[in-house]
Amino acid sequence: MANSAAATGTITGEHSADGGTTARWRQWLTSWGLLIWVGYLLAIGLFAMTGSDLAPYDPTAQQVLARLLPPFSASSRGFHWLGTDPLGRDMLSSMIAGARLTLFIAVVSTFAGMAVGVALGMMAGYYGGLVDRLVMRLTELQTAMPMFLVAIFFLTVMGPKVINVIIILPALVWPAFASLVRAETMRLRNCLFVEAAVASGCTERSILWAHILPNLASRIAVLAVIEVGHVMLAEAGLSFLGIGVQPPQTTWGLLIAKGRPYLAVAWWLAIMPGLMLGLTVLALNLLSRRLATASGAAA
Amino acid sequence: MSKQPPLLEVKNLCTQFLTARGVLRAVDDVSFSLRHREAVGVVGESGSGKTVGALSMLRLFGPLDKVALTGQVFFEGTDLLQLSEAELQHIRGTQIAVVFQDPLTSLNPVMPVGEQIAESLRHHRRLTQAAASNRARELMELVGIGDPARRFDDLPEQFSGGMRQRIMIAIAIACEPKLLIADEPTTALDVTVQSQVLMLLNRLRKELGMALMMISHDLGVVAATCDSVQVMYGGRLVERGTVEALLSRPNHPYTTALLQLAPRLDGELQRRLKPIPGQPMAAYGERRGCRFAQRCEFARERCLAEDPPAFKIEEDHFSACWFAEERFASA
Amino acid sequence: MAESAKPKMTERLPLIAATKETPEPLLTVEALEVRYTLRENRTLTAVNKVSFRLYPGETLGLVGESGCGKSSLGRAILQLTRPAAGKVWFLGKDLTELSGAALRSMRRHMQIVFQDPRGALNPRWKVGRIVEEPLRAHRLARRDERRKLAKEMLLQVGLEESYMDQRPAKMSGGQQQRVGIARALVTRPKLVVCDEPVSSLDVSIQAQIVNLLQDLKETMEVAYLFITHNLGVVRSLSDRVAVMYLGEFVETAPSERLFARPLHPYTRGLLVSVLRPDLAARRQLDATERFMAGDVPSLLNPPRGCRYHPRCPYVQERCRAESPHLENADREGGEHWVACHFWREIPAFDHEARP
Repeated sequence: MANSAAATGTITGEHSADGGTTARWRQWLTSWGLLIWVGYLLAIGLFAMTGSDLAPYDPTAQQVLARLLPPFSASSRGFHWLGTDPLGRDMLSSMIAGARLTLFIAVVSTFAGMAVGVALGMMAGYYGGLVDRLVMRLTELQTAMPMFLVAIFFLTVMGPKVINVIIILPALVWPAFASLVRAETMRLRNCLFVEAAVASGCTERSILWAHILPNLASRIAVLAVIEVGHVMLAEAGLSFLGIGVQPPQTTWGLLIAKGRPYLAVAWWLAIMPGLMLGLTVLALNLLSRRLATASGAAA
Repeated sequence: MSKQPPLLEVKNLCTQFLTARGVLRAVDDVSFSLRHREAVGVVGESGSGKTVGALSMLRLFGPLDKVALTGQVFFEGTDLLQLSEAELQHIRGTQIAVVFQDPLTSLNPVMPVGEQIAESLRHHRRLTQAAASNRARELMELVGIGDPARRFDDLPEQFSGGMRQRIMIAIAIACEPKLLIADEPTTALDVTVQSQVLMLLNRLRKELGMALMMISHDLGVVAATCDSVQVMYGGRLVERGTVEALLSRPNHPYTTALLQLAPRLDGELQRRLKPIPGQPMAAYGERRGCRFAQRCEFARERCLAEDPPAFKIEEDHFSACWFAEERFASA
Repeated sequence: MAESAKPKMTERLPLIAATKETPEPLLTVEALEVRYTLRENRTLTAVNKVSFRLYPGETLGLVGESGCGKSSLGRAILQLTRPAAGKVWFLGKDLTELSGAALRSMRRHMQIVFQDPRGALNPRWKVGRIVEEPLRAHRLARRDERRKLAKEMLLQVGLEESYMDQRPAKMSGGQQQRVGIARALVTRPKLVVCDEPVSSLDVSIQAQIVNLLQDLKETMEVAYLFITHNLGVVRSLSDRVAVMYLGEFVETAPSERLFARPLHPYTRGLLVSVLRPDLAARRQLDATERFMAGDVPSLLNPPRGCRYHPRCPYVQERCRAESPHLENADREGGEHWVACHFWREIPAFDHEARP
């Protein structure tokens, strides 16, 4: 009794049948604030998938007479919600078009980092010993390095191509996954049902796949959502510095870079993409935190 | 027994919890009384309400519990449920003390044990540091912890389970309470250590003139330490009587079933035990009828429909079964 | 596979023979040692050179209190923890020499039921999958067949078919333990180690599970190594009983013999300490005083000589110096082994335990 009281905060030691999951998900879904952010992310996702089709105007269509119009202005073409750039291209359309590559790079890089991190983390956590020490050294090594500078160096040497960006960015995120997965795997490895699986005659591989990994899934997902945001910011930084994505491809980072010289006269050129970037990362953070509580990852 | 008013008088105690699964009636209209220096055993399985009942008397709930508590708990004439938290805090520890099941989680792992005993003395009795420490050492001696001077500064992890339980007892009796509630104090201990702790409790009870409420699922433990027994099931009190009466003339079907469960170590060998079918269920929501009816081999329609009251079958022996008198007559 | 050498027998190993007429033991444990290394390079010997035999279909009850090493022994036999020394002969093979796939294939014939029914089941899996898992691991049946076998097994342990698709979290402790038992028996093993299978259950449920194990033992002809501290349960279920103290066997005998005529002082102390729910209980409690002075010593520093001597009411000088070996106390040629220097001299055990 005392034990369960400590754990659940109640003397009845109530475990609700499914661990309270249904109740939590229901609470989560009916929260208005969160729905707004989820809606926003869905919109961004939609933009990313459909590209410039959804944009009101062709982002590459120049209209010099309508250059540098502030937000909420009209031109002969139509209404510009977010203004136009020095060549008369509609900002909103540019940003929608930019969403695609930004998201693509962020998601792919995160997944790559996740795959590497989870694999290494599981091996380190399950087998321990030499494997564990090796992986730990690697993570420590990398955490000690200023990864952003390394990325800059890498891109300068290898050339600022999208493919190189996607190669180097996972390096930023894999240690976080490895750490998390290693700790969780070690905890799960000591669980009785894993010992039961060993006693039943299961191979190590099947134990890792069928017992350990599913119990890690929700935690990994929560981390992945946050890391997409981090990667997005990192890519924006690199593109801003000019060694990431190059024109004619657009990402938000690049848009910010192009708008920087005009900050004094046409603030919306840099601020608008920056805002969109910031809102997206914020939305991802909030979603991640809510996912953590809803999936009971904290429990 | 003298006609002294009872030490503890519980009337219609009802404890309900609001949980994810609905309303849990952990303690359902329980009434009993306890005289000074009397030892009562509260027997039941999980969901019987035996522990919650005792904790309810002192309003010891967890911070996240959503509780509805009704009834009256008269301790030396004062209704504990009406007291303020501050007044109740004073009673806890000085008048009524509790010893829990698991000494490992009940003791502070980073504080020396002597300190933990002295803490109670300093707080409740306002003793000075030195006086409290001295008394703590005396108490350690009293409960059978050898070399108290040296062991005063040891941490709980340096003691065995039985020793830790003795420390818990020392903390509990430090202010010489009138009532000691022991919640499954020996369940987590080895059977050989259990004997020692129970003997200690018996001895202390006699020396300090305490009343004892021994909560256990083990009728043997209760038989060895108590004067009377209360059997609980599903939050209700199903049988109450002296140890002699209950063991020789058990009346309620649950009591008889419990007695038959324990496989004996001597006498005839039972290859097959006599289990009670089904499982002990906690009482969620409304429920009509006898709580035990679904598992009772003697149940009739009436049992499922109506709640039986407590029938008096002999002096100081009550049984809450529709067939209590019949069963008593034929026994 | 080359014929495995017969287990080496020496004079000093106490060998416990069958109470039945079956010639070949299912399991032979020889001088098994289990050690754990702690911080500061201290070692704890949880099991100290234990030997015994188990015959097909037999139930050996292993009793002792916490820290006696019984759980460690059970796990070491199954190679869930690797023993530091000794041999375990099972179905003709020495398990201590096996590893990897060879060891895994043996697991089909030897299973375990755990003390914590909830923890032993993966909370995310459905019951059907849990029970099927051993079949999958050993590739014993195809998918449909597996499902059918799992269903049958569940029925045998008293759970309806509808439980196949439920998750363990919603089930009671008793039901969860039934699932654990179903999983252990689905591959029709020859040996099941039951590690305190009923200790965490309510008393009314304990009896149900004990009866279930009894039934299954008869229908499936499986041998149990039944580990527990509950003497009453052991008496019902076991053919033979072994009493363990601080990592060693102190007494073994056929079940009825042990309870009727316990020879070792520790066994007597255990029996006396189990309080009977009757009017003699208080007297019984007082009588235990002479048997169990003090606490169980730590395994880190076991007493010299006979490990029980600090707590023994009959202790003599020899006990402090010399560790007794198991000797056969049965004059009629039966098997009642006890490790005590003075078992002959100690007065007969009085069940009424009058002081």
